[in-house]
Amino acid sequence: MLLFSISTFIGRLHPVVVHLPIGFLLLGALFALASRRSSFAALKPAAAPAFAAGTLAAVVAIITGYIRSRAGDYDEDLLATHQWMAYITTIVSALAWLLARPRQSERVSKTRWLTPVISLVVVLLVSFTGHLGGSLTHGEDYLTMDADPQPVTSRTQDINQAMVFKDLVQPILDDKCGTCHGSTRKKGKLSFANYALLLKGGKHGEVVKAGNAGESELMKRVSLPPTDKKFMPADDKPPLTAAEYRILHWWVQSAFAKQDVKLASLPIPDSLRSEIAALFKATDTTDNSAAAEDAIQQRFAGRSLKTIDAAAIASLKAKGFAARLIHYSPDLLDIRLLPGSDSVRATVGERLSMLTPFKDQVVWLNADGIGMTDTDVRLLNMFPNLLRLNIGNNRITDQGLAALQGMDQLQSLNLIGTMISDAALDRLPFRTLQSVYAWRTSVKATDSLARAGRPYKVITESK
Amino acid sequence: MCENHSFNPHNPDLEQVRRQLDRRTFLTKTSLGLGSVALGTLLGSKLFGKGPAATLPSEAAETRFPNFLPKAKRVVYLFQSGGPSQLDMFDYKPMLEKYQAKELPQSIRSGTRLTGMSADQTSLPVASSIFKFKQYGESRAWVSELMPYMAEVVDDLCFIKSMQTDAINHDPATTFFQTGNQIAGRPSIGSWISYGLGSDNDNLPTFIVLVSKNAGGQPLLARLWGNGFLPSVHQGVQFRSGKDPVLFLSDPEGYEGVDRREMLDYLRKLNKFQLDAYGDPEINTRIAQYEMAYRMQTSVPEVMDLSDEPDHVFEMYGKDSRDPGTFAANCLMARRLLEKDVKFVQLYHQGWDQHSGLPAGLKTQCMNTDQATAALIKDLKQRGLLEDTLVVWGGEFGRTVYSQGQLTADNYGRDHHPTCFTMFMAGAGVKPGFEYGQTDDFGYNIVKDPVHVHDFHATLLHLMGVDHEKLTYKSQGRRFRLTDVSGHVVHPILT
Repeated sequence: MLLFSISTFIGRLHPVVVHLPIGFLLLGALFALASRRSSFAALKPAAAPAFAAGTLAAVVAIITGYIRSRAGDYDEDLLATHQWMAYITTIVSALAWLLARPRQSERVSKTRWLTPVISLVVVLLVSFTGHLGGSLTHGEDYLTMDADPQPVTSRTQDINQAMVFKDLVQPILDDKCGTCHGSTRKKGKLSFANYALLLKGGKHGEVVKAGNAGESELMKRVSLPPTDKKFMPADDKPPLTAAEYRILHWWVQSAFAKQDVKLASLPIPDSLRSEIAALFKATDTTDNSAAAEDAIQQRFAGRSLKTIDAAAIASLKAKGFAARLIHYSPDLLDIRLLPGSDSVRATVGERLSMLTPFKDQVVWLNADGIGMTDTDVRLLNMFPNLLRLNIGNNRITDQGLAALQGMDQLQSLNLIGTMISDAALDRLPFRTLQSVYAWRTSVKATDSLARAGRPYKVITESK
Repeated sequence: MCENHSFNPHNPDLEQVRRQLDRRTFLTKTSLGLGSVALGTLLGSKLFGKGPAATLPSEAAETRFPNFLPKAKRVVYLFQSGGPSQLDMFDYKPMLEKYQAKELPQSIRSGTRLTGMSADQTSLPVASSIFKFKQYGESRAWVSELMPYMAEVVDDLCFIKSMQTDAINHDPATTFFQTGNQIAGRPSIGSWISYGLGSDNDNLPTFIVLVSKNAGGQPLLARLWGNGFLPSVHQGVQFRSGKDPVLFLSDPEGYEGVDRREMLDYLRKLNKFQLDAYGDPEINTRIAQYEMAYRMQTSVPEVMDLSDEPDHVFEMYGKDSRDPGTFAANCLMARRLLEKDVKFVQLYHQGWDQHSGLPAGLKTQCMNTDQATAALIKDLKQRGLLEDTLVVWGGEFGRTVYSQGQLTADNYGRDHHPTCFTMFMAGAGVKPGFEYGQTDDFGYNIVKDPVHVHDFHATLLHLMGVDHEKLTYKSQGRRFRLTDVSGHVVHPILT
């Protein structure tokens, strides 16, 4: 281990050490070229030592550079080019040293032109090799980066036209991961520059497993504790926000990491809706109750509905209902059939028919545990405006449930403790339904949204 | 039944009462006497003439509640008295590790006031949390290792990390949370709701309070669930923590209660007579309470009888749930009360005031509450009750990032911190798996989306379908409301 860490340290000295050959070789070239002018002739003897020192330093730089290249995750092609250029530069600088040494007079006149030429070549080689080294560290576009700022992605602002990968997922990856896993730097040989590369994976294999976020390395790494060595983004770069994480998780898990699909065509869970919307426009601080009120007014417009007064409420209470007005103009009711009410000896059918005068105005109905059977279920169809219906703990089977229809704004259906099965849930005709409660039934399915024909949540036992 | 006995107004005792009213009172308090009689006739028809006092009309009978379709039908408020330490439970601040034991920078403190205890300290060393945090659920919420059960339900919770309050000590702060004012005398949240919305179950009190027996700490006073200046029929009814939540419900030995109904009817007539004479609204409350007590004779034993609870439910809430009066047992009881449509159930659990010995103290607190809180949410959810019940969890303020008292490697304390703290809500109308508001890296100041206590009240009332500016009551010459003169509904957390 100690040996390992010493070599890593030495490798990391490369960016330091490499400045020595640069300095010496350029200085050597300067001496060699300048000394052609008679006023600088005194510099001539200094060229050779400078080239010598530069060559030696270059060798050390090559060693440290080699060690560094084993540890770092650099673009293979760029690295290879840089290495070979380094070798060539070192050989040429050795040559320059040999040529710059003071020699006997016969050879001097014939090859006098060689030294300055070689010096120039050294300068060019050093510059080019150095530039490659800089590109390895900072990215190939480093020098021109700010000169022409590229837009992040040409992302559409219209949520209805947005493509799920290009406009939702890719911007997140570019923003939070692109510095190290982009088109120039591919740490771990992993790049998110485009969809194909993302799916291809990196040095350790695939990072995205469609439909299984738990097994996807990408999701695993970003959900580690920030202090963990393997946490991503690394090097104290800003981590994913909770919303970004959730979006990626949903994309991998529920959207099966699809690419060429419109965002609008995928089922989005309620919890994500506002966050995804937020990425396409400003934060939603609107008061939804105004819109909800408008919807109610529209729905009941023009209908001649009763005004329900205290006397009506009192008479309902006397008949074994718990009744409350939860909206005025139109007057809407929350009704509960009290189970086992001693004062009421009527059958379920008789009790429900007592609500006939108010049938259009009942929006919340709780008939839990009142001894309802399959034949009674169709009586519930007289309440077309129900938002919430609870018929749990009654003897209702799939057949009975099938008779339930006509409530075109039903949001919640409570069937706990009934005798229904999964089959019944596949056939529910309520398009506005958001939640079905099926605890203590034989229903097996849970929260999954991916099931076709079942856009509502099915909630069974809480684990 | 009563007609057989023909209620005789010429009974000598009643004559005496009347004579007293007529002669003595009239003579010694002429104007007042006449006034009160006049008041009786005036008010009698308008306010009190509507039959049994089951529904006490509000002063502003013209404004009807709810004002719009509600999301929540009932509320359960798990109040954590003492001020739970948000930095050790929910508000993860990893940067604090780098500042451990360093002095809290003046720029962060920026002159906010300290308690009398902290002001005497020579230094305010930053104390990073000794507990490990991880992210959970699809919402990636941070929860510390102290609350493994809450971690399982984070996808149902709506965290507010940017709560703020004005009060720095327990009683004013708790009073502020319960009544909207630091100084006592105003009605509590449950009372306002009872007053505005009435009850969904006439057989049980509208507002029930349960205080944990397995916790102690800062004192709790009955006025925290009191009715203030509202008619006293709206007060919170505290069920005792123990085997008998309501005393003397059953008939005494040798009495079968056959004629109790008849007795109560006569009692009501007598009280009505007083009412007609004096016009005192407290009489109405008294009538209502007798009636309620009568109904509770059946309804309370039914709700307290846990023999119909399967074992797996007790296991879900934890072994404490079999011990009546503990927080866990109270949570289970709360669920049963909510099933019966009790509108406002409030649980109090004390002991979160870790000025010192926080690591050990907080661990105990969490152990006693974590499992049951999560179980309550899970239980409500699987029964389909969570979607129209609002669950609220929180204390009266938060705790400071600096250590109170000696800061060692494994021990520290935290002082009161009103500037920012964490609460969460779940259920009806709030976004599940959501986090609102943000504090700075020291967990000392709010940097985004502050939520004041008044805003919390406004939002709670909004979820019940009440516009907080409209639910008012005139007392001592001016109209009061729960949110006093401020408060904005926090719309971003609402679905």
